[in-house]
Amino acid sequence: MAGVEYRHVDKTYPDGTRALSNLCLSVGDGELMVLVGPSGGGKSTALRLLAGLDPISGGEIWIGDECVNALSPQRRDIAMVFQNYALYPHMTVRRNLEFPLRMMRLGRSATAARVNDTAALLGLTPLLERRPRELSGGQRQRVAMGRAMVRQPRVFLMDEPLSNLDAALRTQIRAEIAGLQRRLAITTVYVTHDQVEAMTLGDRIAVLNAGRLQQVGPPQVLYDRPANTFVAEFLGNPGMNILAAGLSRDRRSLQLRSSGWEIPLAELPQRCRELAQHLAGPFLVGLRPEAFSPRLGTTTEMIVETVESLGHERLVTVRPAADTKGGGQTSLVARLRGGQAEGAGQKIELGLDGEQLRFFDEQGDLMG
Amino acid sequence: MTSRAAIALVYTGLLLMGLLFISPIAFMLAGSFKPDARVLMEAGEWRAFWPAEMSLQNYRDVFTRVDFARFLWNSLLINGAIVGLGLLVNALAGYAFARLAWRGRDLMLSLVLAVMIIPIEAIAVPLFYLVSLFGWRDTYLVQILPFIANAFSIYLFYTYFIGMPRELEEAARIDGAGVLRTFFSVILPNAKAVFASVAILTFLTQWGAFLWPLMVTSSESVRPLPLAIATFHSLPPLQWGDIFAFGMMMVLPVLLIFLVFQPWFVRGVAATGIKG
Amino acid sequence: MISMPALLGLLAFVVAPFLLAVVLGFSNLRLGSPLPLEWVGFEQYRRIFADPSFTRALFNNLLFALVVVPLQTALALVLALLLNRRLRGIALFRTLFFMPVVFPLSLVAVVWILIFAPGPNGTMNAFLELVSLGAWTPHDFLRDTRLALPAIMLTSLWQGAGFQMVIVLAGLQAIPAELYEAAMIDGAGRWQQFWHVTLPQLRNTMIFVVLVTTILAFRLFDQVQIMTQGGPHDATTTVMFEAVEAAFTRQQVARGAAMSVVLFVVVLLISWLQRRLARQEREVA
Repeated sequence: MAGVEYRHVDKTYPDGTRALSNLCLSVGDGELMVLVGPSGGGKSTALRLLAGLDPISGGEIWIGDECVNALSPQRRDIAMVFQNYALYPHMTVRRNLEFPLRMMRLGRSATAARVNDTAALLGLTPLLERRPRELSGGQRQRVAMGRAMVRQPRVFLMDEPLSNLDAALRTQIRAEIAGLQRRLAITTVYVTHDQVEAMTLGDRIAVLNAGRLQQVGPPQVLYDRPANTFVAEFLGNPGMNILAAGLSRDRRSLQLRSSGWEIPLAELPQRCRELAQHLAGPFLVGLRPEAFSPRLGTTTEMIVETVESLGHERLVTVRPAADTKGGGQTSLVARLRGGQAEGAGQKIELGLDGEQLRFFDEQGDLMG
Repeated sequence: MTSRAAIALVYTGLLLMGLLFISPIAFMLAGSFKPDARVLMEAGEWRAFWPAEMSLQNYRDVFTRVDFARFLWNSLLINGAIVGLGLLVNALAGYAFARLAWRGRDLMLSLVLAVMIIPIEAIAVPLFYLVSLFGWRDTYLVQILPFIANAFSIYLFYTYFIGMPRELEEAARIDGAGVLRTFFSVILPNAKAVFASVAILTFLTQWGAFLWPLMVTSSESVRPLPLAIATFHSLPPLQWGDIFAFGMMMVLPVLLIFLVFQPWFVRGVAATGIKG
Repeated sequence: MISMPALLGLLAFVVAPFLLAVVLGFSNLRLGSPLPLEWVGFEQYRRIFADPSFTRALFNNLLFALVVVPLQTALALVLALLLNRRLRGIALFRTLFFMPVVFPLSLVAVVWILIFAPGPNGTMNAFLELVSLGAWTPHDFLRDTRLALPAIMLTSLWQGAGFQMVIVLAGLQAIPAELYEAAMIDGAGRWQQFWHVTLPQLRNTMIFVVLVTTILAFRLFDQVQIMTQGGPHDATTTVMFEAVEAAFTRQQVARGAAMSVVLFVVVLLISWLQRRLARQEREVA
């Protein structure tokens, strides 16, 4: 049992690509930390450095009270679940599960006991004598989990472990992983590009982009108060709408410039009003799709571009009627429920919930 | 799509070519069972390919006239050593080039690629001079040692290992296996195809080695089969039946390996062309 | 370092002898010679190129390449095309065409000595008489200055075609079926498919096959040594045969080394040519 800590970690690949810059991140003992971000964001690099599969370029990585920079993977006491499982094709399930224990030179009977326990826990007992190619995707995934669990490591590393499964199975195994992790309480670092997985699994989420840590925190905090526009747009499906904004010359209303909205400051909550009044130059506001509603405060006329119906709700892409030039840049996505489904080209009136406004400076960082 | 006439044409072509290709072998096979005198006498007629009176006399003669068992043992020993040690050494080198980071790797890799085009013929003379200086002539060692490390084998292993998914090795390393352990218990069992191909390819080229043994051996006690048949041919009295019997016994081991492992064989040879 | 044994082996038994060949080529070294070792510059090279046997050897290698390479490549292509279809018994024929490849060259050479036996009883003479409907008069192939080299060519062709065939066949099978389907939909007939799909797709394979066969042509030794000993009157001598004669039989190591270097330069030129041709292909594609 041990926590993990990245201290000012840098990684530059031999070809000069800078994959990770000054990563500082600490994962608590027993915590499930999800690293999420777009491909090339540095999340897999961070995991591989922790595993010891790639050498670190700068900084230190600690597991428990030990700096592991100089330790080879086998001496870090970790286990890893790979994206494609990396089961040894020439070994049976039992041999696969035994392999890490054999490497630890664990005794014969202890090995057998642990393998049997793990197999029972994961429902693999009937499959022990099969080979990986005779298993289904979900079964292989479980064997990979089992191979990681069987050695009772200090830290679990998971590299997109669900991405090779179909949607239904993914949801099911996602829940299983969450359950197992809570039960075993082993520190886990979990890499995914899927923000739904991140939101549902993580005790905390770390968002990485372009090799830099954008924000760390519990899922709900990241969703509600994204530290910058990148996190705002990355989390949530669809992500936050980001609009250029400014104040009216008479300082009585907030103008959402690209969408033609003008909201009297009086309509906004106190917090927003104060914040807005302190701003001098242009800035950005963020709006979650669920902040829109047809019957709320001052409304603006919008033209419907597309409608995606999900049954219980609709994702409606709109552009302001005032924006005669058109062009996709000013499109907003609204999440609407109830009422009649809109048709493309139709004009609708939309208002917004001032509570859900988020303000970002020109660099995209959250204010207030 | 393929019409009957086209199929008939293809079969005719195959049969015609097949007859031309098989006839020298059939000639030899038939001759090896015939009394010596008839081999030459019937060489120009259809009976060249048909042993009317079957007898194993020629095969018995080979053993009484020369120490065939000795030559066979020499060939097996030399080839076994080259193939066995070669697999180990070249596979490890190929793996080191494909997966490990070490100083000078890229330089060494280009050296290996460059060395690949140097044929044994181009270095036979200086190598012959070298081993003469060291007094190594006429040994097994001098026929084995120079051929263990093989640039082309390294290259084949290298390209195969490069193409293998990395995760397997990474999983093994995280599971606690060191480099050699990973190589022997994870890589090797999953790379049987390339090992088989390289083994067969090496065996095929070395089994027929003639130039080098001709230069460095003089006593029968260490000479391999290809040399032995050349000397047997010039050993009076000239008895073609015996020569053919000798030839059949000489080619039998390769032929058997070839027939059993044909898929690997063909794949291995094809692999030589894939590099282009 | 786990690559050390192999790398040491290559350095000791390939690189070192190769460098030694270059060095020796500039000396006058003879085994057991009372003359002191001297550096003679390009004297060895001047001498070997002034030696009619050696120039004849180079010419023979070249001639061998010019005749055998196109013939063997074409033969390999025809065989591979015949085999590249799903018909009953194809595997048997493939085995059959490949079989000569597993025969050691020394054995092949000995067997073909008898095939080329003189007089009307010789297998080849009898065969030619049969197919020419009696017009062929028997020859003593291996002792005829005009026929000895062609006889060796035929022997090599028989032994080596299967090897090339397998490579071409692999190349053929690597061509995606969609290309043919697309060509068919575009209205290409059999012949046009071969011309516009098969050949261009096979280009790199063919270049490789030609390279290997050409290099083999310049390495020619075993058959010559066993079948003709370079004769008659140097009609079948080759660079390798001359090099071995010089270094081994006459103990003129320096001379043999110089010839080895010439052989290597030829091989290098051929490889370089192949690289260039193959690269052009990639740029186009």
